[in-house]
Amino acid sequence: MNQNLQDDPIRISPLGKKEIAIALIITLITGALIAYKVLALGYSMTTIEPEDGYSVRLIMDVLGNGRDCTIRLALPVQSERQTIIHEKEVAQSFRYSISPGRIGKWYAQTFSGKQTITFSCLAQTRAKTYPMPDDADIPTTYPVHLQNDLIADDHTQSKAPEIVQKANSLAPPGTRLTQTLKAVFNYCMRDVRYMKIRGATDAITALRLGEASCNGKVRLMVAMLRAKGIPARMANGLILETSRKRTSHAWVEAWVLDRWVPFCPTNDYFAQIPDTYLELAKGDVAIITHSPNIGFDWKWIIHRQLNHREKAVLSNTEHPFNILRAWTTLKDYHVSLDLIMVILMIPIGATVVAFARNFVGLVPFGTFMPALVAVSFRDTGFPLGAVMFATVILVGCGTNLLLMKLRLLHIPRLTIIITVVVMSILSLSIVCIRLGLSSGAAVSLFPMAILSLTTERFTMTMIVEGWRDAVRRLIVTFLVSCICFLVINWTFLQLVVTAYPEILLLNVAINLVLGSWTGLRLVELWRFRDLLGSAGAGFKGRGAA
Amino acid sequence: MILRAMTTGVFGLNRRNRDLVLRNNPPAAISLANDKIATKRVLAAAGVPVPETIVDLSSHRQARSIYPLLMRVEKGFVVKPSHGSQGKGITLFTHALKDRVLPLHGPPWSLKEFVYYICRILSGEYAMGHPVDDVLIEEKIDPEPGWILEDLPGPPDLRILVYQGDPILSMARLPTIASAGRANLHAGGVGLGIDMKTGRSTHAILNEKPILHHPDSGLELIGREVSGFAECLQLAARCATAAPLGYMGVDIIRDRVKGPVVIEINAHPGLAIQLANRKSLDDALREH
Repeated sequence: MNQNLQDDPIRISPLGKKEIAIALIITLITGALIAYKVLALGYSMTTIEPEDGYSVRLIMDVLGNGRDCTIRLALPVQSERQTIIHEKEVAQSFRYSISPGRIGKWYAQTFSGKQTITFSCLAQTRAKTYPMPDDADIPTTYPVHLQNDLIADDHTQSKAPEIVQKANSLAPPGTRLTQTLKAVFNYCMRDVRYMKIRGATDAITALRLGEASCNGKVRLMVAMLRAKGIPARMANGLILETSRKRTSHAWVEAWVLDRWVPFCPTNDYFAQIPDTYLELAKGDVAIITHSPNIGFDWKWIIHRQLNHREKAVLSNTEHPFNILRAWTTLKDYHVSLDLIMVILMIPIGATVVAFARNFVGLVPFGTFMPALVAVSFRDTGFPLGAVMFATVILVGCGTNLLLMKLRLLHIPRLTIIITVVVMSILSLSIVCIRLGLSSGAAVSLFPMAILSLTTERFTMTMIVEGWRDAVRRLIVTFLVSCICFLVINWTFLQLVVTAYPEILLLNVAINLVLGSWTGLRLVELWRFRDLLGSAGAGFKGRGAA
Repeated sequence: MILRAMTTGVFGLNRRNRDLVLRNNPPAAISLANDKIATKRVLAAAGVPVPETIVDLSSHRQARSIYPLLMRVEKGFVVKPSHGSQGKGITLFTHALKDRVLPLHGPPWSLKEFVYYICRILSGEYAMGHPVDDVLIEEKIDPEPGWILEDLPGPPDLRILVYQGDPILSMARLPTIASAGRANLHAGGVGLGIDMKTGRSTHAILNEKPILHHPDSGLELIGREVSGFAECLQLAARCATAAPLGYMGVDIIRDRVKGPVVIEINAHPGLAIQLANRKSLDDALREH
């Protein structure tokens, strides 16, 4: 009855032979391209291993009045936990020099008018914990270079009776080194309450008030340690987080067995320093100083980046025989690598959706909606993205139900929904920024039009099929979006695809195979469990239970 | 084990789409099947009995002007979005009066409501993906009482799967109170597997689970004979010659006077028919 067996739908193989053959060829081509890059052009994966870092930029506005002008900045130092690269400064008529103590100096003779000086670098910092000796006593003598870190000064009144008395009551004479540090640290950390106070607080004031900002806590702790005969000093720096700010952060360094050990009584780091602290100045000095009689303002602009990524991806393309110099071309036209990465990850997100649909049987609203929502989660961060998703659906659906009563026609109704959706996303973003829950970047790419259409599908499903079906599909949509997000936000995958964009050919191969898969979807195993006979025995059993 | 279970003869959506729809139904034929007005024209030309068309509407301007036409209809009428699927957007009316329209179920509609409903269809509300749609208004079938089963809250229909011109599987669909009189399985209708040789019902499902009695009347569902089953099979085969679909579902209702009438053909018929017959599509294809 069927003359042509090739066209017979009664087949045993659930995958197409032709498709698998083409997919294999494509895979081989991809492998060959990667091999060519690795073996002939010397591409390597190790250079593009991601390393977190922060771009730190200081912008100083200077207003001169015709006299000499000097500005000094304590520059970040290289240390075993702190790597500084790409240090750069831009100043118009100022001469720049760096003194041996890593102090950057800008100098201009007879300077007037307004100018902007910028200093920037990429900082990679690591957390470090220092082992503390259990049974060491406080030494009685120290090398000469530490003498300055033992004496009292104007703000660190370590000779004042109140301070000495307090220090002795916390750690009576004879207490060992580590225990003394612990007692003083705990007092400054717990008993002195943290208050956001502008300006400097000295040690006695901090003790008397029982509250202080970071610098007050630090001076009190330094004073008490010095009173106990332990060399201690203030350390100044920045907390690295994506932000624009003027405030710096201070913590304590104490001399423990031949080295400086950090303590932060504000954020509770005992003998350790977190990866977000950038060390700038040592001692009770300002990070930035300037000559009097000038107008001066500054701000720090800090944002996180995978700083080796760009360099590495680009360095891979420099080879003269590289026929795939795409990145250099794009870079020359100021296309950001981050944008390219997002674009490269969209097809991969789409594969996740295709797999969820055709193999698992999870059918979301809107064909590739989850992939696009996942891209937007990258911008907003996951929790905020999830809140936005829920808000948009709720607000949109509510609006839609109201509009249905007004009997508006389809497209104008959708337009109103998009408008309401945009307004609610903007207000939500503003609220989140005000509450400090997110940065401004969150607003950018959220796919409002697409989400509005999802809202429409959700509302229609709710009306036609009932709210159970609608909610079920909404959950499926959200779930698939989350899986997409996990996949496209996987740094390793991003780097591999960016370094070897030909991997997208594998995406074609995967979908050739997936598109020829004619087996049941996972959820259909359940649906047809009664028909599956012995092959589906496991499912039948569970069905009966 | 799971992979083996996935590749038995039971057809899932993947296999239906790839091995049946994509292989046998060219895109032009699919878009024909999705357009009720065009389908009707083709079927009528081939001599297949279809419901009488009262009017086809394609512009908002006509929405009011056709009303006097409807007021003259005596047997009731059905409004259908031409590109709707799964029975969505279809409403049955008994009378169009001067100031209100009486639907078969539920309270009367005002004229304004009726015109708004027509406009919503024209704006593509039920035509997933299409920006515009047409409205098909046809005479209501006068269903033969007691066909397939007595005491139903609406007319039952017979779905016949046709593969390359041969009917291979069939299922009667019975409305329930829960399905609001619709014969659609998604809406909560009963599916009745019909033996292709005897025309008798073999198994029944409700919401994809096996049942033995109709949920409303409690009447026995198994062993029912579909009268005129052979005639229905011929009709389905004739549809296959009229429309260029190698794989399709033909929906038939039995009119008191005209006998079996084709109300719709479907280029992507659903897969629950396998459950209603307790038979995989693979087995059905082998037997035909």
